Amino acid sequence: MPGILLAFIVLVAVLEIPRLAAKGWWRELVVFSLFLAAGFILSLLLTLGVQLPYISPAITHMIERLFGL
Amino acid sequence: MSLENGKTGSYGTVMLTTGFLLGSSLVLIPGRVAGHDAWIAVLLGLAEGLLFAWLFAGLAGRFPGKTFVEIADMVYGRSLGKLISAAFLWYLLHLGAMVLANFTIYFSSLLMPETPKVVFSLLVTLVCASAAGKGIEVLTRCSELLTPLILLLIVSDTLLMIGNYHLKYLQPFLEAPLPRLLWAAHGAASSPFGETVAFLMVMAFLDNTRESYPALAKGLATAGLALAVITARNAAILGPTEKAFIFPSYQVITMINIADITRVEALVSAAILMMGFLKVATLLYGTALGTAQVFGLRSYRPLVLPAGILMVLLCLQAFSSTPDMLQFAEKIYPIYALPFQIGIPLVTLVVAAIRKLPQESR
Repeated sequence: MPGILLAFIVLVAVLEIPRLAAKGWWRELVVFSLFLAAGFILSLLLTLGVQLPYISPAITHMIERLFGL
Repeated sequence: MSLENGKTGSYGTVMLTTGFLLGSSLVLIPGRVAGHDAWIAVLLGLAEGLLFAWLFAGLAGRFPGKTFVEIADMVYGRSLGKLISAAFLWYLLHLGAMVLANFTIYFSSLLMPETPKVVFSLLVTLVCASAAGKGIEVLTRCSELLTPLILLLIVSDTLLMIGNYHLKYLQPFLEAPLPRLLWAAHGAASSPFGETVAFLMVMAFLDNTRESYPALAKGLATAGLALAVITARNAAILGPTEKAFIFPSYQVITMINIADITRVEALVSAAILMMGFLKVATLLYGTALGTAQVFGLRSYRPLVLPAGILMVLLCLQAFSSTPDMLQFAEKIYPIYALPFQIGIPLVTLVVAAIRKLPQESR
C-alpha cells in the first residue's frame, strides 16, 4: 500500500520542480529535492517490503540505557 | 527578508493554542496513570505547563519578531545555532508524526479497520499541508472557527451524559500515591501542555509581542480545564473499567442516547480530527518554516509537501503497535520531551542573558 505514497511523491516532483526552476530558485530546488529524495527512498524501501526500524522502541531503548531503568 | 508576512491577533493565538493542545489529547487522554485522580493530575500538569509557557514567552519576548531558528542563530552563532535548530525541528517533525499516528491508530482500530493506514495519514497530511502552505493567518483563522465548535461539543457531550455519572467512582479523593500522581502530572505537562514549545515558531508573528504570555496562558487554561472535565467525566462514567479501554473517551461517547438517537461517535470522532488537523498543521508549518530559515531560503512553501511526506513516513514507523504507543506515551515520552521542552529553551534564555543579547547587537 505505500505505493500510493510513491506515486504521490512523483506527482509532487513533477509539479514543483519546473515551477522552482522557472523562477531560478536553485537553492530552494536543492533543499526541496533532498527532502523529497529522502521521502522517496524510504517509501521505496517500504513498498519493496523492507522492514524499516520503528522509532519509539529505539528511543525507549536509548532512554532506558541512559537512565538504567 | 521575512518568510512570513502574516500577522496574528491575540484571540487567534489563544484559539490556536487551545486547539493545538486539545489535538491529540482528546484521543490519548493525559494523566491516565493516576486512575480516577487523573483530573487532579491534569490540573497539576496545567500548573507545570504554565511555567513552561512562561519560559517560552520569555524567550519570544526577548527577541520580538524572531522565530526560534533565528534566535538560535543569534545566541549560539551560525554553526552551533543550526545544529540546535536541527534538533528542535526534529522534535517538531517527530511530534507531528506521533500525533498523526495517534489519530491513524484511533481511526483504524475503531472506525475504519479496512482502510490502510497510509491512505488515512496521507489524506490528513494533505489537508494540513494545504493550510500550512497558506501561512499563519489562515491557520489562526481556521482555529478561530473550529476551536469554539469543539469546546461547545465537549460541553454538550458532558451535559448529555449527566444521567450516567456515578460520583462514587471519583472517590476516594487522592487515592493514587503521591509519586504516581506527580508522574501523571508531569506526563500531562509534557503532553500536551509543554508541546506549546512549537509556538516558538509562531509567536514571532503576534502583532503585539507583549501579549504572548497572556495568549499562551489563556489557551493553556482553556484546554487544561476542558481536559480536566473530560478526564473527570470519563472516570465518573466508566469507573474502574476505564483502564480496560485504550480510548476511554470514545467508549463514553458511544453511551450517548438522546431520544433513541445513538451512535454519535463517528460524528464526534470526525470533529476531534479537526483539532488534530490544527496540531499537525501548526507543527508542519513550524518544521517547513524552520527548515527554510536554517537553509536561508526565500520561501518555505516548497518545503511543506516534502516535510509532510516525511511526516507520513515517520507516522507509519512511529510505533510498532498500539500497546507500544500507550507504553511510550506513559513511560518514555515525559523523559524524551524534556530536553526539547525545557532544556533547549532554558539554555537559550540563559546564554542570551549572559551574552546580554539582543541589546548589544542593536
